[in-house]
Amino acid sequence: MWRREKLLIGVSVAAFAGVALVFSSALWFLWHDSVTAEEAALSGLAVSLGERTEGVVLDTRNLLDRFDRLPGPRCTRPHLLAMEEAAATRPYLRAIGYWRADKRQCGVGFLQTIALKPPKADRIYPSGVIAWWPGPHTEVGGVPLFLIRYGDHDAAIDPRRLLEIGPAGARQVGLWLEHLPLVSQPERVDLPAPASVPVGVNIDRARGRIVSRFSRNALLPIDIVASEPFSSFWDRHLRTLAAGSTVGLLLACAWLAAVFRFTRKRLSLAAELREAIAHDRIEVHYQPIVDLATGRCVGAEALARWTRHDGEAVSPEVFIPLAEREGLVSAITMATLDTVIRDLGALRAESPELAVHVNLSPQDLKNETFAEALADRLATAGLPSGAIHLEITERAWINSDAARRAVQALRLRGHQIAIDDFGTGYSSLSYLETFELDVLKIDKSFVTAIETSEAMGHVIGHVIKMARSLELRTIAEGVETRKQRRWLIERGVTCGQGFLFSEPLAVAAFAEYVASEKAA
Amino acid sequence: MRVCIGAGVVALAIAMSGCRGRIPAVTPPANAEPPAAASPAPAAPAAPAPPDVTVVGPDGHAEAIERRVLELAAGAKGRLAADDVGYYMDVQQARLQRLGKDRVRVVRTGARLVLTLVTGSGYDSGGFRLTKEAEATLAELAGTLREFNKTLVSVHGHSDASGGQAANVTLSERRALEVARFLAENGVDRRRLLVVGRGPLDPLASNETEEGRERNRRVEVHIDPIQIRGASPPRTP
Repeated sequence: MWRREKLLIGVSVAAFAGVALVFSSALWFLWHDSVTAEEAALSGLAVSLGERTEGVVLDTRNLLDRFDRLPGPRCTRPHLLAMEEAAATRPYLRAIGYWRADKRQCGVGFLQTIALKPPKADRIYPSGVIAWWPGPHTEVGGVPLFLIRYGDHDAAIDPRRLLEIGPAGARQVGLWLEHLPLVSQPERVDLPAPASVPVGVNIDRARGRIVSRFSRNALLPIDIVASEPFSSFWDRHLRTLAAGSTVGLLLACAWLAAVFRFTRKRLSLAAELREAIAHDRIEVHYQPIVDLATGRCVGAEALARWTRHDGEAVSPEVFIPLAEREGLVSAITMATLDTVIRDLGALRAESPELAVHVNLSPQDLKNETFAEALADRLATAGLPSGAIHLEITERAWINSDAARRAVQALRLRGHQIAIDDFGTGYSSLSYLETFELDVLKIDKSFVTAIETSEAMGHVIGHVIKMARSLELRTIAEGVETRKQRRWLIERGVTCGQGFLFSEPLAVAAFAEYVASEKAA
Repeated sequence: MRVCIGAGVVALAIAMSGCRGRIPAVTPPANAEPPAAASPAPAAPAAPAPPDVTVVGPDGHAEAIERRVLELAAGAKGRLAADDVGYYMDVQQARLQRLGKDRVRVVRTGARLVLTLVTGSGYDSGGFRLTKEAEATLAELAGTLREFNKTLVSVHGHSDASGGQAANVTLSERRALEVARFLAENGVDRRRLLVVGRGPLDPLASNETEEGRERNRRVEVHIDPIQIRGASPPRTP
């Protein structure tokens, strides 16, 4: 039972790990995608705003220089017209003024009567350009203006026009020029200074927002800082979120389904096998063993067969290992023996010499009551122990003294002992001398190799010679061609089984086969 | 190249010439007032228009400047409102910077602008007279000073420490006077001008090396806004 629980725990852990992996992958993908999109958008914004701001600053400087160089008297019609025209074609220019020292003489734009004279310039460039960043001293009509003066003229720039980026939703964007705040959208919003924000997209957990910064320093240092609440960030990336979650969910479902199917199959197959044994639905087929020289049937190997409810025949290669893992193999052996003993009564009535080979597993050899149980059944059926030959794989007993003792005990009770699948495992001919055995079965792979590999043929020939010298009978498995048969006869192999003679047969068919052989 | 003739009681440093020479005597120009170097506190001219630029001795120039600023502030041309000083000086600084770093170094300390006429462009070698280049620079400077006329312009002559102090003071004063007179001739009101001969008292660099001495020989133009300090709250930075 603990195997089942272990399996269930393992499956649960696998399922959980799979789902977690799938979801974390989906989330990572989602985050990565959103951040990449955000970074691309902001760096694009920084570049375009940077270029625009630089362009405006340069253009304004050149404009003011041009006015200073205009010939002719100031504050006359041509002078004013020139300024008027420049302001009209530049939407960000709120006003242009002409000054003598600190007295505004004339000008165009919105500041006709207002002379903005902030008490402290933010920048006085070596070139003679002075700039006052937007602030309380440059505010007109509630809008802090960006002032630039060069020579006798100054210009007032509406910084909001530099940050025209369309509806920003919940996103707040600030523009810094020369590390001084120029403008933000919305106005007067509390954004962290660029110097305090690493470049790129950052998470400000304390305030539940995403803060991004991008900087550019082509002509003048420009910084863009954007901030928005997590919620709106996710809202904006909802499509990615939805896609990511769906993919994640589908993958998780697929994984769970796969795990579930696997588990059910494993668990249900074991349960079904258990049930089949309990209800005596393990069938036995007999593969005739034939005297190679005469073709006379001398016996058969009993093979367990399991057909599921849905008619699927499960291969012994699948259900025998499963039975071994589930501790069911002894039950299968007993079920097989019961069937064989039952069938043998009728078969031996016709052919008293018939002997049936039954395969034993290592677990049968460990089972101390097995020999007794077998003897009881034979006695009840009135069969001699010689009617049942026992086949044991060499790996089952070669390294276990207890198993070897059990085998010897069975032999003493009168069963012939055949070593099965000889040559596939730990085979060493010296074992054949050490242990008392009766029959050596030559594995099908060797028999097949007779026709294909000369080297292998030599090895088998040697084995057969050795077996003969030890007075062991030999049975070749998987004999399929006449050539193989001839080869084996030539080397003195006594018996064989295989498709050349017959496939495994249900008991009735086997009885017929035996009868027909006798008739022939 | 250096030409040094040690004779007489004075060894005169020729500011900004890049060469020191011996000058026989200090000879004021014919129209000059008697030098006021000896008097620590020169009396303000009482006449309606002073005949020449006032010269202040090496000591007490700070007080003299302060006093002259107050006199001018009380005068008919008026003064700067405290709120306007910052803007006025900012714009003026920017304007003066347009003269170019290779001609005039502009330094701002508080409300004061300090202009240093750059070495090598000042005078004829060994003489008092301004070179053509210096005159061109000073003419442009005078233009700005005419426009930004609510300032006191004090011209400070400095020498290196070679030779006697009194002679150095006299020489530096003569150099500054030459500059101030040129500005006055170019339309800067004489009452806005003060001349100070500081001699070797404000060295910029060590007098141990020729390079340092050359830096020390210089003429500075200090520009102070005409305002009544303390009458209104000081300008906030």
